[in-house]
Amino acid sequence: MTQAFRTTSGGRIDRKKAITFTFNGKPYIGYEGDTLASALLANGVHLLGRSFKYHRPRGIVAAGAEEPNSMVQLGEGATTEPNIRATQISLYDGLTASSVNVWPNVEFDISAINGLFAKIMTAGFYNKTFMWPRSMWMKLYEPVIRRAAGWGKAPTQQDPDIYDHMHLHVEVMIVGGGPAGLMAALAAGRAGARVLLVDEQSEFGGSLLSRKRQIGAKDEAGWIAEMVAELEAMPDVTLLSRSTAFGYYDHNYLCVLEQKTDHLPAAERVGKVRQRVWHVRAGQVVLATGAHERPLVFADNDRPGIMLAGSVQTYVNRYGVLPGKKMALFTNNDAAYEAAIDLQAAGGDVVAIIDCRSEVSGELVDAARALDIEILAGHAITGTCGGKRVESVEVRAIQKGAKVYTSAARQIKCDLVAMSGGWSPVVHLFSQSQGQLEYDEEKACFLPGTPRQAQQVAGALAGEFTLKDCLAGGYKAGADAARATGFTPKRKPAAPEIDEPDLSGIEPFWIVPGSRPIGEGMAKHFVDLQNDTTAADIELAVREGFESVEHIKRYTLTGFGTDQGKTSNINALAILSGILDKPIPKVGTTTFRPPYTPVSYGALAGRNLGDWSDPVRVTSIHDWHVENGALFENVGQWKRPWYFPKAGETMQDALNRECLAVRSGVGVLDASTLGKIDIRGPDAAEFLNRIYTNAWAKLGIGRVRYGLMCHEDGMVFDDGTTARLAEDRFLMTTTTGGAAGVLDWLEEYLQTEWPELKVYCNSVTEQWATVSIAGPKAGAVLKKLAPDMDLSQENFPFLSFKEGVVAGIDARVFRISFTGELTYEINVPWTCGRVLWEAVMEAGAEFDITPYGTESMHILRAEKGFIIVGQETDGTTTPQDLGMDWIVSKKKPDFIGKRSFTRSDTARADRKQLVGLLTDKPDDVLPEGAQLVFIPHSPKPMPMAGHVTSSYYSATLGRSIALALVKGGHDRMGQKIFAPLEGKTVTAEIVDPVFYDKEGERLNG
Amino acid sequence: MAETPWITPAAIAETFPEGLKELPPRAQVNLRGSVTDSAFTDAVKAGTGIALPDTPNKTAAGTDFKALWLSPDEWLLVGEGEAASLVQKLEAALSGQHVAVNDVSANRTIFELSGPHSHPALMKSSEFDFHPRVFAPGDCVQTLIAKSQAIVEQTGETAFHIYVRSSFSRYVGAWLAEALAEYSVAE
Amino acid sequence: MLNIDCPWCGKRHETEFRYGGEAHIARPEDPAKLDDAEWAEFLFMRTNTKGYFAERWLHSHGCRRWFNVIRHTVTHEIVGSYKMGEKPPKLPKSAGGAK
Repeated sequence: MTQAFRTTSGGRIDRKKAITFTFNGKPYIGYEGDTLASALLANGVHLLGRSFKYHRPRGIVAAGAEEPNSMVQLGEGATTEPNIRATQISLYDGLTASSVNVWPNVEFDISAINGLFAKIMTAGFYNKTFMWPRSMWMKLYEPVIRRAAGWGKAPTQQDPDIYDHMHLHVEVMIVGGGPAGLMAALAAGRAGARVLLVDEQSEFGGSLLSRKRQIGAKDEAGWIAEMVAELEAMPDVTLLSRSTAFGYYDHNYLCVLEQKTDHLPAAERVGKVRQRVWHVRAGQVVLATGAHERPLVFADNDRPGIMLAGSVQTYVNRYGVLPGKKMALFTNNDAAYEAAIDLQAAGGDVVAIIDCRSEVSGELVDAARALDIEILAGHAITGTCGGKRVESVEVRAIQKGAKVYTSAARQIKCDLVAMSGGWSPVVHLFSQSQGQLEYDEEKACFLPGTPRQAQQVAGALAGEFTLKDCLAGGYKAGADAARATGFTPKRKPAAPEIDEPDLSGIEPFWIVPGSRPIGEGMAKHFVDLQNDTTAADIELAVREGFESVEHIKRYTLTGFGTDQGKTSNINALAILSGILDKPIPKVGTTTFRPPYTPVSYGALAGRNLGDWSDPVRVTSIHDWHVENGALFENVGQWKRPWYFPKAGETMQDALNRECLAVRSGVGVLDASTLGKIDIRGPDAAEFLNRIYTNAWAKLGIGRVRYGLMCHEDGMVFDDGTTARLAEDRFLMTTTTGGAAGVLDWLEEYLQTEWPELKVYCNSVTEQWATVSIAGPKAGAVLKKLAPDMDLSQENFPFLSFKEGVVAGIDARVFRISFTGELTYEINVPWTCGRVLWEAVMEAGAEFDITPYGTESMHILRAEKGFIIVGQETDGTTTPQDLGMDWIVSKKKPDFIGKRSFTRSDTARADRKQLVGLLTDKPDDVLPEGAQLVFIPHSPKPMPMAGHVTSSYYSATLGRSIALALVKGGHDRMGQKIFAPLEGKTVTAEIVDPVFYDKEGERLNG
Repeated sequence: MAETPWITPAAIAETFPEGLKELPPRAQVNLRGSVTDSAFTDAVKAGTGIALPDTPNKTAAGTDFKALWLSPDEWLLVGEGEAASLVQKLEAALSGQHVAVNDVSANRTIFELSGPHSHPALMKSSEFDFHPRVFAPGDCVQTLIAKSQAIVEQTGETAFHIYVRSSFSRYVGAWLAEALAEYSVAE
Repeated sequence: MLNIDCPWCGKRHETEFRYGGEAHIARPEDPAKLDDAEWAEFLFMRTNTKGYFAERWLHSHGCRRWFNVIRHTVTHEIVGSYKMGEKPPKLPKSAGGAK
């Protein structure tokens, strides 16, 4: 349990705070400030997992988000998370983690045998191999491959953690809290803008956390602290660390994942929000996302202990860890020399610097020489040895242009290889924002071109690779962003004196040949470590005809996975450019898509799950329904009572009882959910004339009419009754689900087509609770509640309404009917809904009044052949199809939908038309949605004749009934039609859709 | 995750944390008319003391009622008086004009969100920018609270009235209560 | 997530709005006078523009006003919005990515 690879001093860790953690079942000690990766390295653990395809031993490569290998299963039980990068896990007391993609364990992994079959597991392996026989795919290949090739395991229990979302508006948002980002925040903050600065790491500072720099009078730590302190003191500057901007969307809308408690021990997380997704709208965005170091592609460049040079430097300087004690550095640039110099200074030994450039010079080269480090210029690593850890490298002199190197090999013993192929600006967010990339030959990288959004770029992302340039560029970007959002930047502070080495150039070296041609022999040149894609795979893909970078990506898997090719994309396309002999810009890049790093579903959902996944709307009578055992049905966002079962009743029992009560006694329904729109103005009647298919001008005050609405295409989209309250005032009802859409549509016509009409529309849906009492005894119940109301047929006929007092409440009572029975719909203010309902129940008790739900309502109306919009109609149904020609005015010169009724398609005789169906066997209840055919048992595919739209068992009629849309149905009365179902075919007769009381005699009780 | 409050008859108000309450019903009257027609605005002013705001998303106070701008020809008059008498008064004063006056007192319920966590609770609930630089006492806005349409009126430095359709009141009330929950957890 | 400028309420997030399709397609004065082809032209045919496009939006969760927006269908750049009956704003010279 000793930290054998911990330096004696230094680093941004707190050596006084030891932390105990467990990896693969073994306990270890680290320090506060460590990541899981740095703590493991301090304990000498390099082997973290096995690779995706070949199950080769893999270790830590990087120190941040770009890490391709070291994914672990973090935690246990309900909170376990798969495939988290060890480099991004802050160490906390009690942390447990284990390797992924290993079985039985990381030290001995059975699937490593795949390595022996590597020759057949090349690019497109899955696509080619498991094609035949087809039937084996689901049964055998897929399950086996998934087991062998999966990474970590998804949790099987419900996630107990709390996630939420926060919306933030700022003038300037800065992504990246390195030197450029901090300066940008300072400039924008001092100018007075509202600023958000986000950084994915546990603390601000970016590259300065890894490198030693004197900035004016301060060292790097002092400078960072001073910057953060000034920013924190600004009230309208928000600083978020541990926060990754993972998506950049339209109009400067960005999503940021803040990990609020992931670094805390379990006990300190209780009750707190674990992760928060910030939804940010920014006036200007400054991208200061830095750069990722590129690996070099050489033979067997994947052994544990082979790491990025800058990351080695990070482990040494930031975490006080020596990732190895004998390091070989392989580089094509001199910036990487700093890793060697810092490792040596911290007590490690640099056994050689292998530089593929033939001529090396400069400040850092001289410094390395002064430390007596051997520098092999014009050399390359052409092979590595070691099992679970690199043990030595094979070094040869470069032979320019050669496909194989035959120069003498030298073996150099080491336990760490640092590599640097140069730096790739982190263009992901810029690219997500639709900005185009431009290739910079001199810097050998893609840089942001012209942005598409209100945006600045700064720091290494902008190709500013020195600290001096980062500070200046960052300040300018922040000032420009503030200015663009209407603020005046303060005078630029004087540039501090900065002590940093001068750098000479980089010499791109995209692939290092070995002693045998690439793809021959056992050596592998890995391009994408996470997906086990090699240079040979890319060559093979090209040989097989893939040339587009997007196709190569999909065929070889380069750039997929949780790291999305952060270290591999540029190498892959540079190698592709070499094979195709096309310049890199002509090959182009693949598209960067959100998220930048993986985001859990929990965070994406926030609080929008379970009870909050969609609004639940309830009426003011809802609690009564709950208390009286109602089961509920979702209608739009509403909870409506479905039926009210009594003890021991089946659903059908309850429906039979409810329906018979309405037909023979009295039933009561909560109809509060119907949409209600108050329509007022001198042109209100004219307006209704235009938007309904029937005539409204002559409707008397106090009278009610049913109406049907169509779109311009002639298809029915809503229906309901409308009452004339006054000469210039109507109250329209809409379907429960259609209320908002109808109002929008009314406003659309009023505002865009007929602005000359003087009409105001107001939604009053929740002003009125509606209690509908229906049945022969309905009048008797109402009489008790409204003794002063004249309910006589002459004074209160069907399709009229009255205002009056019901149960002591000011009410509007409508005589309309959806059941075919005598019905009074009583509207009272929403808040009085339950009082009225209980009064109705009490007054109705002597008549055995029966509350009924939507299902009985559906049965009762189907018995009468009344349609439900959305059930009998589907957006392709005209009033004529429904047999409702009677409601389509022949006299009105125009109304919405009229012109379309004479289109050749809408006038066809063989359109699907609404009919009733009576099954030959009265107990057969057809399934709703069942397809219908005219010729049973015909060969498949059978010609379809229509479908069942509604189907019920009718207790009133003592048999099943159904409504259906049938081709040419109106002319097929009396004919047989067939529903081919699973295992049987049901025969039915086509009949008139009105099954009950065709004469409408029951309406008057 | 809380119990499902919309099917739990227990009064959810009892579970509201500090800083959130549902106000007793207020008189609310929806008024439509042309703000460019002085006959209309003068009559409203005479009847209520309110100079109807024609600047979007502003409120104006009168003697017993205040007016919230809802659209170029629409205001919500809110007060503790009686809605029916206000409707009568307005109908009489505006007789013969093209207007609409609707008692909508029951159409919406009003939550009061107040205290130091009211801004963050709104940030969790709405995409609208409630920052003091943008939104101040006397301002109102129609936007979404969670997934429910709402009118939000700022009544003090850290006090807001949130008007939601009555059928959404449990959803919104429970949502706001949950939004405040983290602030009662000790750091 | 678009940031849409309601001519009355100012810039609001897309979620407050409802999309209304192509703008400036007036309902014919007298539909009865149109033959089937002309009626179909009004009913079904839209320009499907790649580039700057005039479209209608409704501020459905706000002031319930319908208005017009000029939006670039590739970049989603919004040039401006204008009330019903108003003239559209001038288009920028460059097509901003419409290639």
